[in-house]
Amino acid sequence: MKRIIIITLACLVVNFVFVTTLSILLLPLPDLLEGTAVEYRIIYALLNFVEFLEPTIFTGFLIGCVIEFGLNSGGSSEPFSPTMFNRYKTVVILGIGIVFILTLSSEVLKPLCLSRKEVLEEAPKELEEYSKLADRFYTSNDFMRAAYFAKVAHDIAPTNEAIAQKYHDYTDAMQDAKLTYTPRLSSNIEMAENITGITVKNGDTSWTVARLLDMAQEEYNTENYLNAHYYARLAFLICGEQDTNYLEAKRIADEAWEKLELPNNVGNQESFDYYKKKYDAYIALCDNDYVKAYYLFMNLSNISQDNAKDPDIKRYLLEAQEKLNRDYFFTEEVSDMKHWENSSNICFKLKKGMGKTDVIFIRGMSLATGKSKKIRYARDISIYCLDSEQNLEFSFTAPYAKIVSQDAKTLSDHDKEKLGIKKNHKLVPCLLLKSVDKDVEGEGTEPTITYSRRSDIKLQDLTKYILPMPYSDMNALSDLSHGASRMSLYDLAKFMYVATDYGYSSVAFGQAFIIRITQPLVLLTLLTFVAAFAWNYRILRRQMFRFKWILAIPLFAIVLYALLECTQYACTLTDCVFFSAFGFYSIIVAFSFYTLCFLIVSVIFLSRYANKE
Amino acid sequence: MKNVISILIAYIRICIGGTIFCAFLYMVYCTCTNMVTGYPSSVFSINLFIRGIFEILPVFVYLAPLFLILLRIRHDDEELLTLLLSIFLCLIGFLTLIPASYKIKKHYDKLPLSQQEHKLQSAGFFRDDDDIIVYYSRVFPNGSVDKITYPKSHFDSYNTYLRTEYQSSSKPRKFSSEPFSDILVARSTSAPLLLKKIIEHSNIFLTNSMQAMHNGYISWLLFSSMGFSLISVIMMCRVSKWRLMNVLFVSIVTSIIFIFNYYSNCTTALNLLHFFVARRLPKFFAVRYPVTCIFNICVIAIMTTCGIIQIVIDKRQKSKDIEEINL
Repeated sequence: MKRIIIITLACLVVNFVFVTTLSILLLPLPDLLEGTAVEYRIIYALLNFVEFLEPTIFTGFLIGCVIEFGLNSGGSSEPFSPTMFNRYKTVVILGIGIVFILTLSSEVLKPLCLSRKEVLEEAPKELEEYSKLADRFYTSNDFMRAAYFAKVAHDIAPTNEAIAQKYHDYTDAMQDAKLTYTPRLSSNIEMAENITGITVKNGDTSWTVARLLDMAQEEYNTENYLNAHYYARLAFLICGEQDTNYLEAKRIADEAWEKLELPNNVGNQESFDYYKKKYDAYIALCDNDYVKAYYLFMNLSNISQDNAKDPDIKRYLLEAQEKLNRDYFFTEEVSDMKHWENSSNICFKLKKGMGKTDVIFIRGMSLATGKSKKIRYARDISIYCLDSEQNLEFSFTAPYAKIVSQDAKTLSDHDKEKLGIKKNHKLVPCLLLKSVDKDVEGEGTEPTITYSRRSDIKLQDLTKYILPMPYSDMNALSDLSHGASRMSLYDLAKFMYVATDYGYSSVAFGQAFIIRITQPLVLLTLLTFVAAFAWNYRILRRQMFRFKWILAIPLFAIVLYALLECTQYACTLTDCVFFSAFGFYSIIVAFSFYTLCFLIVSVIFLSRYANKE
Repeated sequence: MKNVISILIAYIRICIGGTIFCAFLYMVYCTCTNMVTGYPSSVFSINLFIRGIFEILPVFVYLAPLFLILLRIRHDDEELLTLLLSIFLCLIGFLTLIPASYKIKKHYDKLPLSQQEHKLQSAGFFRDDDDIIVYYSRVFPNGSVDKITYPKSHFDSYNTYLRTEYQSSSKPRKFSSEPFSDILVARSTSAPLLLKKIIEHSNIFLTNSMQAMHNGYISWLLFSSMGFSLISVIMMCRVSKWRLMNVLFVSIVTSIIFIFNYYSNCTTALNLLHFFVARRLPKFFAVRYPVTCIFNICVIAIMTTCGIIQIVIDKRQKSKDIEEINL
């Protein structure tokens, strides 16, 4: 056993040194950003190492077995001898170890290296693209977006002087045009976390009506009429006219309102102005104009530190922000989104009620993982809505969208039916299509309708867009851009059943799943077969291993590489047969088939014996 | 006698077993190339399977010498009878099995495939080509489609700004999925690059081999000189004392013979050489590919001579060993 391990490890070391040296010396570098060449060479070398890992390990295992079996071939003068069973045990134990290493390299190391390689290769293209976009918007006098794209380009290549200059020029142009948009490198994840914390919070509605009434009365008694009105109003909104508490709540609210409207206890003009602004902001909040209320409270809070500390301002600013974030998101959340985008070119279709279909394209998607929740942001989203005849009904695009989860219970049955939300969908994705600036009113992004046959759809209605799908499927969809081979096995297993619903081939994903899930068993079977082959061609007992034979090892690796490729393709076609004949049951059939193959190969190995030596 | 029977069984197993297994894969591959996602389809087609048998059989007849040599190496077989039997079986294979399978295949080529060929693409799926993603929302019987095209990059190579577009009643996109009808099937079932190249070159080789057979018996005999050189490698199956090294040696020599014959007969790489050699040969030898014949004859001569020398040396060594043991 030791001998096989040592020879396999020696082959691995030789492969690593050989591949790394060749990759570093001979690799023709593609167009890369300055300073990334060394990293690219290392990634490339690692990828090549992983690519040839299988034939290398197989070669090491073959040579190891050939020598081990040759030197210790005694005790097997007839088939199925106990010594052969001991050898079989060794082969299977080593096989499992090798399969573990190979699976780890193909499921973890290879995807990691591939993603990084893609990022490095795409960087110059992206730099050029964002630079061009910046120029394009600059020439069309859209300085804000020009500055934004120049900033993205600058972030991709911070050392590029021309881009840096462009970024400064366009930012200056934007400031000259008195636009206050400032892309921030703020910690977006934290911001998103905070915002979502508010959005998902059940809020004041978790209080009982009686508790709200008590609080309103307390606030009224301490002459805090704003809070008294707020709690009383909340109480009568919750309980409804039939409730016995309704009249009491209405009374407190009205009395507090009267006091609010007569600010006779306000002293000087400054205090009066301040109170008036606070009052206006509060009215906007009561009128459900959260955007206006948010900016009014925000402006008040920004005037002085005392204002910012005012408990009323703090409370209602938070309240307005919470309500605002149910329908909008802050532009700042997506200002440097490009950096944490983890998938690109995502597309899927969704079947809606009444035979309608939505076709959705997303240029880039990012996942912000906070302490409690995951939020996604979509960049450059286009949605095409097709009617039951699959004719285009209307389409729109949005520069950004925030994807939050919405509880399907909050939707009426009629809405669910219309949207095509199924009963088993608990959380559904909701796209927030409009963004607002955190500080400046009137700035932000909104969708654009590119085509419409329907007169009932107006731009102002396009604030939220609910997608009829489980929110958890967003994971698999965002991984789609890398192909089935790069999806996690869990996502793949889930996705293959629903792939057709999203516009993908279930057969392709099912096949990919079967190939990946049965890969360890196939490899173990092949290793056992290699061991049987090694027994057949083992060195003779008295034969010394000659050093010059080592020179032939790379040739073995090449032959094994070709043979492994052929075998694995034969498995791909076999899996295709299984999927075609048995559909989703093919996983069980494939497993049974490969287990049978393993058993047959095991019997072949165990039936080996030495007839003369 | 036991060895003779085992050689016979092995030859039959290689030719029949290998052919049936690969014909099955051939059938699956061919049905996959016709498959279009969204249409019900089956990978089973008896006509394709039978056609596959006669398509694949020549491949295994060509590979049989290698397998017989591997068997000889494995059993340290030194018997002359088994050697002659192996050579005889391979020669019979080249001269009868291959021409017969080509003749039968011709008949099956005319039969319709059970798998209906879908010329039309299916609606409702995203098809991802190199730089673009296409979604057909509707496919009309006349072949036109309603489609949404989504460029993966904002700019093309001509610096034109690209946007996502909906086009009604337009032409379907031509995908780079040859020989598969549907790029979605191609993505999941197309062969890896190395195998693709092997399949591609094997196809060309088999077509040429068929052509040589149709050109007459002499032409076929000359083309089969490759087969004779392949089996002549059996003489050199004991170059090393390590059997695995012998396996590697015969595999490499077999590959070299295949590659040389392929480049010489099926490509224009050696045309000039063929021309010069043909001019210097007497009229009787003026065949289409003289260099190939000369190469194969040389291989046969070298292998046979070296093999005989090897056997003589081995025998002497053995008798020396026996003498030493007796002393």
